[in-house]
Amino acid sequence: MPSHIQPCAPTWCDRGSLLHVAAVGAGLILAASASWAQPAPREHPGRPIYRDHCLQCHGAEGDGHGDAFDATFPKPRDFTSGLFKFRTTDSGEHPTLGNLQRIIAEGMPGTSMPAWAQVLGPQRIAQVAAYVQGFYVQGGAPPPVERQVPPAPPPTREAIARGRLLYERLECARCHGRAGRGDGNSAMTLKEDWTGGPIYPRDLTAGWRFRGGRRPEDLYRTILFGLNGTPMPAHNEEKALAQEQARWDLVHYLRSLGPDTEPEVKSTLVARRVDGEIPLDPDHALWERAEPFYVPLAAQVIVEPRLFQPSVRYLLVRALHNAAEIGLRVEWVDPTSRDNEALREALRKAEQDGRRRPGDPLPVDELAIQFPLRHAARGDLPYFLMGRPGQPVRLWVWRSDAAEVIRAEALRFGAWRALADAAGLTSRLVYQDGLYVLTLKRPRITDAPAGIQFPSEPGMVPISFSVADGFKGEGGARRAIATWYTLMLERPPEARLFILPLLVAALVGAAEMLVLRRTRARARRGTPGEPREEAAT
Amino acid sequence: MRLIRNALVQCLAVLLLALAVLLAVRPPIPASLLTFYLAVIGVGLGVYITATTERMESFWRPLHALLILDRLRPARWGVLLALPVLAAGQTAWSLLPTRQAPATLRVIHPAPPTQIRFEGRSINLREARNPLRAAKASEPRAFAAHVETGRRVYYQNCFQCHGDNLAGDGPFAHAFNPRPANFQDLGTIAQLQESYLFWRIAKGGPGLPPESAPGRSAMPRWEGRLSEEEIWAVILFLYEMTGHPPRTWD
Ligand code: HEC
Ligand code: HEC
Repeated sequence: MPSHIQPCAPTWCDRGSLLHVAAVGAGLILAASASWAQPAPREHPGRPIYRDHCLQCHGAEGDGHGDAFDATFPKPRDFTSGLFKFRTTDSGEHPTLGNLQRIIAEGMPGTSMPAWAQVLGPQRIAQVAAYVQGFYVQGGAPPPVERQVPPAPPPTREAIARGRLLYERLECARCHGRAGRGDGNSAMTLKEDWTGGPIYPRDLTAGWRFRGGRRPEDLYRTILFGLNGTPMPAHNEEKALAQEQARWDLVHYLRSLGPDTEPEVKSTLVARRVDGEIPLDPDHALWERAEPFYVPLAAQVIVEPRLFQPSVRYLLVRALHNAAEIGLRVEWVDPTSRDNEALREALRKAEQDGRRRPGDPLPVDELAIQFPLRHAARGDLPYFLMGRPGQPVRLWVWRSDAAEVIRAEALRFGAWRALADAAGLTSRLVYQDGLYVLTLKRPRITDAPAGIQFPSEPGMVPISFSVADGFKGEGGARRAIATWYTLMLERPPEARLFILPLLVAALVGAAEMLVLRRTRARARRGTPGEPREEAAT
Repeated sequence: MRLIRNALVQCLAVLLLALAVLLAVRPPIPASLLTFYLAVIGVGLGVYITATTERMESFWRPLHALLILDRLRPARWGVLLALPVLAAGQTAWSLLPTRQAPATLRVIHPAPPTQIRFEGRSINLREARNPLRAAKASEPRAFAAHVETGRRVYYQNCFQCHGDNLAGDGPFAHAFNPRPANFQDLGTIAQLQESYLFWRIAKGGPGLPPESAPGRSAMPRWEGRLSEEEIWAVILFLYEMTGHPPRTWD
């Protein structure tokens, strides 16, 4: 940390500098955005904005200990540390005022730090940014040198291929994993500088959750200048990235790892109709036919014990059916699994530190798929947290310590009893590079007692999900949850789809001809418009 | 002018206008309801036309002309061809397999019970008033302290779903259906009494009647986790922050 950083809360560091207050006075808005290191007097125009909108998280003293501290992960930033993640300044340096304004305006997706552009507008954001600066800068300190981010060239296939090589050469995979899912070998052993707590490398396949923005220029800034206070290093001294082109190659490769906008949330999961057998092989071409269905997950903050930051943030679900079977394919990102190096290294470290004894059981990951045992077509459903007495749900549960998915009846949220009869449920699990893919299938009709039935299309069976990442201490009621969705079986193509419209067209046409002929006949007889009683022909 | 006096033109104008208005309404009206509204308007127009013989005649005259006049031959065949095509299209459309389950109908603000039990004590929701509100006029300092308590409760428990700015858009909001309530919206707390909020906060989703789909609601039940005073304080905070006045009984 550079030596000029001094914790300095505006409430006390300017006590008595009345002269200064007077001097700054009215022209402060301008001064604040133009110059560096403007101390923050009590009359600072950013102060009321901070009190109304930021204090509840960042605290009156700017130390991050606001009301929301306990319910938030990552923790609200301690501004007095002077450590800021997103900067166009060298590693270890303060951000520019512009950097602060940008992050305040756009927020940090995937955390509780909101975007303020709509609420505050540019002028008030400039004021509150200057006020935030007052928490860590003392008057007279030289401003940091701002580095320029040039405009991004368009991505090309070649650029992405070159970027991939750079990703390997620079060992980004050590933390972010080979496929970028945050499952690198040392991923689970990293610490941040504010509290010394654990910090996990970003999943680079979900660009909509990049905290510093998802534009190419944002990634360029992150890679080059690193994120202060975190293990994410700066790379501006890196020889391999000396050329402008190489930097953009790496950026374009990162952007090719996944979509940069969050997939749309829909309410109906359509099981496509196929002719062949439902494949358990997750890479089988038939699964390509089913559209991936995006299920965002929230932390379970409803019943005790609660969870505030879910490890798994979303599922992608595909569904297929044929005349006899129904199949699901569920994938989710979890950087740790029984036999991956990230988990092994984390456990080794925990044993060294005495937080774990050799031979302690391995953490268990879980996925539970939930269906109501009974439901009326339009009525209410069992409670979405695994039902309640009198309104039971059935579960299909996968656990990383069991060979097969089991059928179970839920007892309360996060607890269940296995049912003896598998009802023909079979499954297969593949884990690679931080991604779990579970495929499972079952006959649509089962004679197992109290089994879920999928007798006819469109079916409309309510479905929900919950997930636990054992390594992060999840399991039982501490799990990531989803709301109820509807699983709908697509109708097979039907002949009436073609015949009925033709029939309707023919009928309408015939009726028209009848009216036309009768009207014209009457007109010829010379009584326009007068309906006359006539026997129908 | 003559055109406007024609009953057919009038009917078409009314129908088009109604359709434009109904389609412009946000949030969009469901298709079934739209059909119903249009049917009602159609019946009304039918009554209007058949009320007098002149109107009947003025309604039929253009149609009649279309069918018999030779100079209208191209238009005639255009219309006669378009109608079966439209009908066939509509049939095919209605037969296409839907990819969307029918929306669940749900009463968002059901009638509250008159009486609830909170921590073993019974509270009459008709009579209950926010005991902390009285301080607003008499003791501004105490009132401000209550609002601060409410702020603390909100940011320790609620903002994850209802959003930092009370707009129902917290980090977890999009994982739930129904979505967490937006308190800034005029359709939520601005329409409700404080005792109603007390009931909804104390009893949560599980306390809703069946017509409000309690099984889907992610709203936790705060009885047992928040005290009575904390609940009244967070209610004060919601109204103070949004600037909405609570609805009163009189
Ligand atoms: C609901 C809680 C919450 C509120 C309200 C909030 N923040 Fe934050 N803020 C956070 C969290 C959490 C982080 C840290 C995220 C991280 O470290 O990834 C953060 C980080 C920041 C950062 C650091 C950015 C960086 O580059 O490291 C700044 C600056 C900031 N907030 C400013 C503000 C301002 C100004 C306001 C008020 C207008 C505000 N915040 C309101 C939760 C909040
Ligand atoms: C020593 C471990 C480590 C290495 C090596 C590393 N990173 Fe990171 N990276 C992290 C951590 C930890 C975070 C998350 C920081 C946080 O939570 O704010 C991160 C975050 C990121 C982000 C997300 C920024 C955002 O806006 O959310 C990107 C992009 C990224 N790293 C790219 C890279 C690239 C490219 C490389 C290789 C050139 C790399 N990282 C090397 C640890 C590492």
